[in-house]
Amino acid sequence: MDEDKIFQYLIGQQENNQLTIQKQMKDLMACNDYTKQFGIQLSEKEALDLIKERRENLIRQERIEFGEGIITKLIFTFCDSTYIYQDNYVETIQRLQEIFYLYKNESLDELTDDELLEYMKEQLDGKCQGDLDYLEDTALEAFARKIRCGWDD
Amino acid sequence: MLEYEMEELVPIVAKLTEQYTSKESSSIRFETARQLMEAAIYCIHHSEYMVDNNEKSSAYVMVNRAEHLSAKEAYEHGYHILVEKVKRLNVKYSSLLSYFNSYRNQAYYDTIVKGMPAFFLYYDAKFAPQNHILTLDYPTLRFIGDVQGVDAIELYLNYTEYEQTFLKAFPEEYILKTLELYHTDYEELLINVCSIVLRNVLVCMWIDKPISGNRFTKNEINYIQDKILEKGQLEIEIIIMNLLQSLIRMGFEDNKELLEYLSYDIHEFSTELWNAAQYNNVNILLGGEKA
Repeated sequence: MDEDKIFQYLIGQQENNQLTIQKQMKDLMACNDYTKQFGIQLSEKEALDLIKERRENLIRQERIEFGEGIITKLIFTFCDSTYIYQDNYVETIQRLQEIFYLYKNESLDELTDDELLEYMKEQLDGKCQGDLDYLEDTALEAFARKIRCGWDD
Repeated sequence: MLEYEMEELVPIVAKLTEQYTSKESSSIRFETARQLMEAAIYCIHHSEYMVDNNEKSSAYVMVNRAEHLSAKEAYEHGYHILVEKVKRLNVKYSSLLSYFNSYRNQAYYDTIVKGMPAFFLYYDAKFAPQNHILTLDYPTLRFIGDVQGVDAIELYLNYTEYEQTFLKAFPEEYILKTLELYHTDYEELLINVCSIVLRNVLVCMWIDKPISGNRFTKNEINYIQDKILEKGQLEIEIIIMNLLQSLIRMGFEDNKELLEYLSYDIHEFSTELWNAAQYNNVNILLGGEKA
């Protein structure tokens, strides 16, 4: 068994699998049932864009995802943020997804998904006041450095 | 060799990922995915082996399985085989420790006595079975090569067992003197203890001298040098190999595995003898009388 071939196949799986894309679309559209109470919803095109962006982010950050991925969790975590509204909804989720994968790497996978999402939400709604650049370059950067040094408070 | 489709292997890696992250992470890095994939393949390869339940032997024999296993079944079976292998290896290691002698060589002691327990403590049969963790610094006569994981440790312990079987047949005083003759700081060197003793024994057999650990006399060195130059490298190798075979036949109950292992040193030894003879350095190589 050629291990390189198998590994490339694993990476390719998250790019091309039509069944996976259809299921993800369905899951994302189902999120609208919850998010509409906050005045935000996804169209089908926007959902597909998010899925494509997920694939590109994963490859850029050299990560592999099995299963449904992080987008639905991201949506449920951030949909009630005062800094997210219909006009910036998709762009913000895309950016948060990118930041999420980046900081999973930067924290050396020491943080669980829930821990990182919780911190991101807390910072975005708090100190960062909705500023994604501040979240990425300052708040999370300092946090990841602490994690790498073994801080576990 | 069992071959599986990619589609059969992906779910195994996905399941391993779930277990690795305790379901607390939806993604993993490429390196981690690669490691888990290699872990799955390593276990699947082990599914080709069955435990030989013969009590006299702890060998694992390769079998052609009549029924075709799915990748998942092969993985689970292979993992089970692997875990059993580690347990048996632990028993073998404990037994080896009861008679192991490093003859004061620090590398030998550090590798077998201090280092080896770390393998049994930290070996990860589930998520990294291909990683045998240890650097195995003490040089055996035959190299492990590309062998990985528990297989590498099994090979290494087998080689150590052969060496100890050989060495314990000789008085400890003789072995220590021979090593001292080789180099006064042998205790600190990264050398193969068995090779040094073996070579001394074979040369003593060749010139019909009782083993003692004493230096070879000038006459003995001259005799050896003349013989080497007269016979040539190839014939010297044959002579030494024949001496080794006699030694194993007479002193070790014709132990074929021991013979095969020790024979790995013969070519290198005969080459060194030939080179030494050509440059009048047999005295230095064998530890002759000082001028």
